[in-house]
Amino acid sequence: MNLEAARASSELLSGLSGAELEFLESVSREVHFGSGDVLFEEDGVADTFYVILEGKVGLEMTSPGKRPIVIQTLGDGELVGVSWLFPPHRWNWRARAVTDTAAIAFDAAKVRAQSEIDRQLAHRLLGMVAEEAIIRLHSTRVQLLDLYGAR
Amino acid sequence: MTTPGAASLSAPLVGEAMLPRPFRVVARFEETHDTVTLEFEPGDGDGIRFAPGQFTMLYLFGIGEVPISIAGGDEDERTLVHTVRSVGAVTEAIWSLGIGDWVGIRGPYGVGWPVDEAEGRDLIVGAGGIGLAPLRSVVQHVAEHRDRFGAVSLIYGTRSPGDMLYGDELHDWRTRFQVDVGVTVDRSDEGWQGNVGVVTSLLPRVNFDPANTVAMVCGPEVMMKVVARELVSRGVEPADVHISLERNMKCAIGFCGHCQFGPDFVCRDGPVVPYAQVMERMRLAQL
Repeated sequence: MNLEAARASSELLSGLSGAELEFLESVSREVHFGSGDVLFEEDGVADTFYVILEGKVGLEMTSPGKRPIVIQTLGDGELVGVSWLFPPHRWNWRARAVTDTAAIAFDAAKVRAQSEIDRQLAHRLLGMVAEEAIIRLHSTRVQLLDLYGAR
Repeated sequence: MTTPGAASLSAPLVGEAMLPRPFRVVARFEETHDTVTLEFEPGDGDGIRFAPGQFTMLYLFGIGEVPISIAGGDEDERTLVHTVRSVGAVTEAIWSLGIGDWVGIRGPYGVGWPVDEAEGRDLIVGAGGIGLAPLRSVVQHVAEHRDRFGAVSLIYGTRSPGDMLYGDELHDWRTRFQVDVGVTVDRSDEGWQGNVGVVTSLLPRVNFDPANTVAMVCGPEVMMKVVARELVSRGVEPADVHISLERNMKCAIGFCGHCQFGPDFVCRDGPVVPYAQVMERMRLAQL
């Protein structure tokens, strides 16, 4: 799996230095999911996070007796999972492939461990995840406005 | 449809401009549970020549008159198409119209989309909800003259899969006319395999050269502001982003002042304006 190539098509990875990329490459692998496959379950241990190479993943909330509610879909170059960086390192949503999906899977525990040693990497990853979280917060706020609903 | 461009009102006499002409419904299609597309034919002569983005005033006898964007027309300019969402007394009456029913129509009015300006450049069409209707004739024109444009993308956000307009046409634009069509919904439902999220979430997947792109955006004003900001943050000039303002238009000829937005009358100086012209005003709650 070539993370360098993935960086070219991912705004998320574009800010990483060569050394950071080299480390992340050492703790990652390419994975494939069929449509409907689950990447991680709600409340599951956040031990792996993903960047989508190609495909689409939905973030879902499940409740007994009801169909899952898809709150957001993520596409090429986007990060799947932010809770791996923050205690208690558990997922708040279920992630499921909407279409056949190729992704890079990162070993979250190893990334966290390295971040304890490499403060620059920690700073970079925190910034990367924070930026993504802000984009999603902003999007969620706009969704909450129910702009297209009846006036 | 006239040659597309930034059409402006040619200063008709006020009396003449205020006089509705009789039009009859000749086709009706229910797009969604609350939105209908109606095709009208004139009862007294020629059809209406319009530029994409212009609007007419639609008069329901004994009920009232509302401004409605033109969603299209046929090639011989005989018929006129409006897509209307039922949100009040007049639009509810329009929703209830059947084939053969009569309405009054006057227009077209206002400044349309600068389609000529987009020739030779990449084009992003951004629509939210019923905002796809005023952009439909733009995409139709582009599809008919596809070789005149660079990369063409339509990003369309709607409330739910059931609220989506022009489903067959979206498919045609995507498959037959090389328009990169992206659709996203705020709320998914069973069987929806598409995107869920705000319309701007589609932009990172759109292929365009920011320095050589024209964008045309229509939807609720908050949506247009969010899309315009995102386009500008990605390098598109605010002057190249065009939005369609919606105000309380009554006379439609810049006479009554109901639609005043700062120094502009939206009916006469808009509804389509460059974002650069109004971006400061769009932050003012007092307007």
